[in-house]
Amino acid sequence: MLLSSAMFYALASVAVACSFLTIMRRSAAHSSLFFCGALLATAGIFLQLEADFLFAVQVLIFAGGIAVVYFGAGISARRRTSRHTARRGRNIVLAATAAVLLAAELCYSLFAARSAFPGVVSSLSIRNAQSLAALLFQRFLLPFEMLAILLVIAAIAAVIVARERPE
Amino acid sequence: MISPGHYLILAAILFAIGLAGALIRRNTLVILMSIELMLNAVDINLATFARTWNAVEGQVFVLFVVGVAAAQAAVGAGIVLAFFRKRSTIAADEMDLLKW
Repeated sequence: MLLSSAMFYALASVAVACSFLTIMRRSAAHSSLFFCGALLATAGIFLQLEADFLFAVQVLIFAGGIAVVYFGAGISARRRTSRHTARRGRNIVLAATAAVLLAAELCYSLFAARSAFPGVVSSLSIRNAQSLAALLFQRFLLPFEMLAILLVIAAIAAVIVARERPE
Repeated sequence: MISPGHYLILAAILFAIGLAGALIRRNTLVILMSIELMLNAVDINLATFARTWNAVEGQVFVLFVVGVAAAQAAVGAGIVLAFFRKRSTIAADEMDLLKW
């Protein structure tokens, strides 16, 4: 009990700190490393939520695939000048206010609706990967296939967009 | 013991950080990463609901969100690299190729 609480708070603080550093670091390559850290902390949270398969998916696809794509793009497209950081002053106040307001509003609505949630869930009766596969390949078969087609289209589009055209 | 509310508040905070990043930054790659952070926060919500109500459907939706995020990363990074090749910058306010 105590251990799982401690794990949650540790993972949550790592996730929040890494997300914050992701948006605050100047270099996109550094940002992507902290982004990877935030995703790995989220993977740990999935493990705490007894979503084992999602943990694997998060580590393999999100942290292993997506973060690496951003890291590669970040180190190959290095910023040439730093002049656009000078005009950040007014936006940062507005954006921070918007974000804080959104977080406060979400927390308030969660607090107002707290009676709708069961306090503590004792043990999970679902078998994770097995029931996930049963749902995925029966009830959600069409969306699953459409996702596969979408990914193929995205891969082809990425190759076409990023290739070098002879002028 | 951790209640579902803790996870939901964590997800709300992560979503707000992602929103702030998407609004503050001018680096397009960081904006894309911030959007991914917001999707990631939604994933935490869905997994929490799946756990709370013993419904695996929530986890299925997390898989779909991860798939869409992967597609977004591939196309987004491709567009950013193509733009960088053309203009040698990835600042969001320089992205005006479709304006006239």
